[in-house]
Amino acid sequence: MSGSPAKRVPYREAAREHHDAIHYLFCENFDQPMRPGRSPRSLPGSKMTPRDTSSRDDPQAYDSGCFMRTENIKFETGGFRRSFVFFAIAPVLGLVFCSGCGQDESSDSRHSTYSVPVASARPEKQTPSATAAVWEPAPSDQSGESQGTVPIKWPKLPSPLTGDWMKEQGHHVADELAQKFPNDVYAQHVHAQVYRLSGDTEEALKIWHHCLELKKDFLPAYEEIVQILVRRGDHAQAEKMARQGLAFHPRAVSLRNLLASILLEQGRLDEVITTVLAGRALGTESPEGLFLAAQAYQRKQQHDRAREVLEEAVRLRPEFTQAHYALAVSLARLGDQAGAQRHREIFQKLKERDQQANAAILRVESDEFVRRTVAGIFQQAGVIFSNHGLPERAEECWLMGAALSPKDVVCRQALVVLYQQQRRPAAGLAIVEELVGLEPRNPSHRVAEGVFYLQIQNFEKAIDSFKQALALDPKMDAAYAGLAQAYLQKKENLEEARRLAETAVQLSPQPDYFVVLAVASAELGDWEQARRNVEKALTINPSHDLARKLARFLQHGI
Amino acid sequence: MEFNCLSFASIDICRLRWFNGIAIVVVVFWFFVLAEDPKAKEPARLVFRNVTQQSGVNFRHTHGGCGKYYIVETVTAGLCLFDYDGDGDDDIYFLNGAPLAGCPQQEKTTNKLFRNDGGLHFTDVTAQAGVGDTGYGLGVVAGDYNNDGFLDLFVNNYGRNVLYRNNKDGTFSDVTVEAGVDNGSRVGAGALFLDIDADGWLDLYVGNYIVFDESKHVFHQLTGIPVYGSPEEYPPDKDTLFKNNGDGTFRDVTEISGIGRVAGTSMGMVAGDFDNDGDTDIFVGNDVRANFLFVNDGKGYFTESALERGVAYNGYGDENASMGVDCGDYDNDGWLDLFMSDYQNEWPVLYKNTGNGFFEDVTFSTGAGGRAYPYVNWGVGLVDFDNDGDKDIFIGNGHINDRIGEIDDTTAYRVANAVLRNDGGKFVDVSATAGDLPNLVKSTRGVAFADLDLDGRVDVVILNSQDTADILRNVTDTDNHWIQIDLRQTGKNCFGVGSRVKVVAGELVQYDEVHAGRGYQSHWGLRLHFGLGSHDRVDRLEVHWHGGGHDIIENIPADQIITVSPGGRWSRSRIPGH
Repeated sequence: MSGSPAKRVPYREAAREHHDAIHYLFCENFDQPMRPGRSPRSLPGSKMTPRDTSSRDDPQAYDSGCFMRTENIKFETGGFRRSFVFFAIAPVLGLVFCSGCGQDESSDSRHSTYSVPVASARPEKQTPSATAAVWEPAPSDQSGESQGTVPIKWPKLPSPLTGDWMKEQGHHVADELAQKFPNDVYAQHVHAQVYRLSGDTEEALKIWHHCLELKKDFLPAYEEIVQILVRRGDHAQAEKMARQGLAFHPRAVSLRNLLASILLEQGRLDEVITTVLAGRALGTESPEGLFLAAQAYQRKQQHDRAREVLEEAVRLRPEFTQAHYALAVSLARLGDQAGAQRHREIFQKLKERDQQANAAILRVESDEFVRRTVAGIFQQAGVIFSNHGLPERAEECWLMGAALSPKDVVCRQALVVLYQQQRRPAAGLAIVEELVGLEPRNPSHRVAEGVFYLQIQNFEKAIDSFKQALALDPKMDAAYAGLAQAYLQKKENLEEARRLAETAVQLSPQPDYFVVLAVASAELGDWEQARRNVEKALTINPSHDLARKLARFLQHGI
Repeated sequence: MEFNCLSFASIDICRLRWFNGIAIVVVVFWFFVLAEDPKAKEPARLVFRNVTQQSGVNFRHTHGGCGKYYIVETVTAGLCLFDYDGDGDDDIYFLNGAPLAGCPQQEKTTNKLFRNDGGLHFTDVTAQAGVGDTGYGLGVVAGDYNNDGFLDLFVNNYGRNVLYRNNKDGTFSDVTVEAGVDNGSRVGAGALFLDIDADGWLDLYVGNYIVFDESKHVFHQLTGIPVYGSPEEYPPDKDTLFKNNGDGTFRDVTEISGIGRVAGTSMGMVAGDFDNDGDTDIFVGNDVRANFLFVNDGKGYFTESALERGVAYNGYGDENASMGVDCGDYDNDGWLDLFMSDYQNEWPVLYKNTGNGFFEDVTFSTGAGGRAYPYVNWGVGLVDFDNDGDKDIFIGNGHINDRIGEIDDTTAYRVANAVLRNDGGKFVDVSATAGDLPNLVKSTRGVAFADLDLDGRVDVVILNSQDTADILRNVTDTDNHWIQIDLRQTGKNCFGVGSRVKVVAGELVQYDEVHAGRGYQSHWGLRLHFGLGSHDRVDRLEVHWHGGGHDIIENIPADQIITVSPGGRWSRSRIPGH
């Protein structure tokens, strides 16, 4: 920071003098959930963009081959994986059409975090950005009510809830998207999904091909097209499309595995191995791919090689049911009967578990699959509306998705981000309460809860929430930063606040946390430290609003 | 040799000798080098003609439902080809459904027996024969349980099963109760006659599908379209094994035989000697569960060993729908292989017997799945349609749900059946050029195979759900030779069920076994059929009689049906009109 330092007064005194300004500038920016290690585009206030897989072929981007992945919201819940093998090779339960897919059902993951908040509203009506005042009581709380939750306006669902009705709703929103955003490839992608849900794969294929005209490297379209062609038995065309897709996305694990399975089922064993090994060379190894290679080796009677890759597969995924079966086969052929028996027993135990899980799915209502799929459609629709500057419509979609799927996490997370940005803590708290119920061990929900409590200035509860987050994950940087903020706003435990902020910075040296540390330092009168931390924030992100404001304050007292 | 001057007027002796020498060389060269391997000639095009209309077979199947979508509607029914009147040709017995709970009684529906009058003409003799069971037919098997030389019938129903004893005069008597094979009111499946302990009396294996009755039914819909429930919604049921007492009665040995140690969701099944140890084992396909392979210790005690032997699941380790199953030696290596049909988006499975009753899924490397992937498959058969000496594959297709097209356009309720030609261990889907086959688009269930017109080519009989049956005459144009063999004994296991036959014709060596009960809950094949390619005789015929005895017969002319009896005696059964 250049220029003469501001008058050296403790931050607290400055705050008394510039109470509104300082706290407004500082606290209003820390109502956003903290996200470690995110790219700049994921910072508060930035527009959420679809993942550009052409520039960054992330092997995890399209795992599991599920039709209903959300591209725009990268919610990394741990339960969002599906075995490719289940989807591609064992469609007994219609898993190719993803029974249960489409929604990131509660998995009690500790790893779901909140991604980019929704895009700001239409330009002519700027929603307060990250700098929106946390001290400002939420409009609904002007009456002074700062605790508790208020009901959310959930959509009215018919009773009984029929698959027909849900499908119709899915069609309505997909048609709306396709009409309003004809050149938005994601809107078309959603449109195609609805047709597929209705069993009209012919129309779905046409739309996905149209997606490729809009964006020739659109990976989801390749995957969907290949899967439909396989279902139809058109393996030649499926192979062709898979290869085209892989030319653009050589690191796409799911597509590579799809191609390998197509080749295997045509008896082209050497090509299966080549395909899988090519993925390995790119660093995109997957247990499913290794399993497919093992299948090829077994059919070539190369059981020693099959064993090698299968052992790697179960090392990567110890509960890979089919891999244990295959390993038992190869070990038996290699004469290791004891080993074969061991893996058979593991296989049988895992099989029982799988069958129980499948039976649980079957016990629910018949249209369960439709319900979760349509919920996924609304989830995606919300993201698209949001990206096009229609947050109200986005909210309606996410509420519908959440209503359709009581165990949904993704739509609820999207709503939390929206409510945080829109500073609607009461609504946010209602949703967070549900998320905590669904994933009680997910610390991110506690952090979000804490942020909302900060917004309504319920610091006791905010502190409690952040502490609960830390109890669940002692390395959760966002929780450290949030707790520091709460102490700072509550004006107590300032030393502790600084220590917490330091921990947050150590865990994840990002601008937000440097600013928290700077404020804590300023509160304790350590102006030099305050300035140094602000400088660090600005070094990482020179356009960090809050850091710049704080820098001006530290320099000029404003 | 001398080369005299060329002359076209006369031929010099020397030139003639020279010419003869060259001719001999040419002939020898052709014989050893240029002559085609008889087996390697261009394969015949498999062709089938639909002769139903002129055949007199007017059977129409019903599943007895009325929009409630009971699960049992999906699994009816199998059919039986057997020579009930002993006149040398196979007759046809179709199973039928019956009205289910809550469904109004429409016209009376019964099983139907059509007598083969020759020349592909059939007469409905149901009433005279007394086999018009009105129960809910699922599976059927024929066998001479009382060793009187006439084939009896067992019908496995949803509800009360029926054992029809052949009265030897063209009629049958219902002896279910007196025989002790009633089995309660269960959901049946396939059934088998087999001699589990080689005592000469055929025992009875009765498959049971699920524990179900209409009161337990839950109506399902998917986006407003009714769908059938899954078998996983119901408890599995144990199969039943009845031991023949030798006096016209049976006793239930399910538990003491080891069969009762497991419960499954039986559908298609077949018995055979899969480990070549001289006794009969049992393979049972279970719907969306692990299949069973009951290995016989020779004394009638069975150990379920499917997982260890590689037939519980497909090659991926996944359970399949396991609808129909047939066994046969598709690669002529002396070990019985298995071919099993499956559900939509599952491949049928060809299990190659790698020796000693251990199996490997070779579907992909042999092409045995054909184009079956998008469809639900049912009746299957490993049958030599072109008489080239190896087993081809027939697959009956058709979805369970008549409204599936409204939910999923990648499959269909009515689908053409498929035939895959065996080209030296690799299968080629030749359905599209198989005559009338691609034009028959129905929802098939049971399929059975026999040379109905005794022309040396195996024909096909198809039971279609909620539709008319079809008779396909095999009119494959081929010069290949063949032989058909009836095994006959007196006083015990009269039709040689479980006996193994080896046929050697030149370099062609084939094996087959007499099975009672196979395919999709059906029965055919007490008469063994062997294609011989270009060989016009059987050099060597070996019979390993079930229960003991080994006969060798040599130098049998091809293109006939023969009857073989213990002691190496054989006789010509009939001169074909081909």
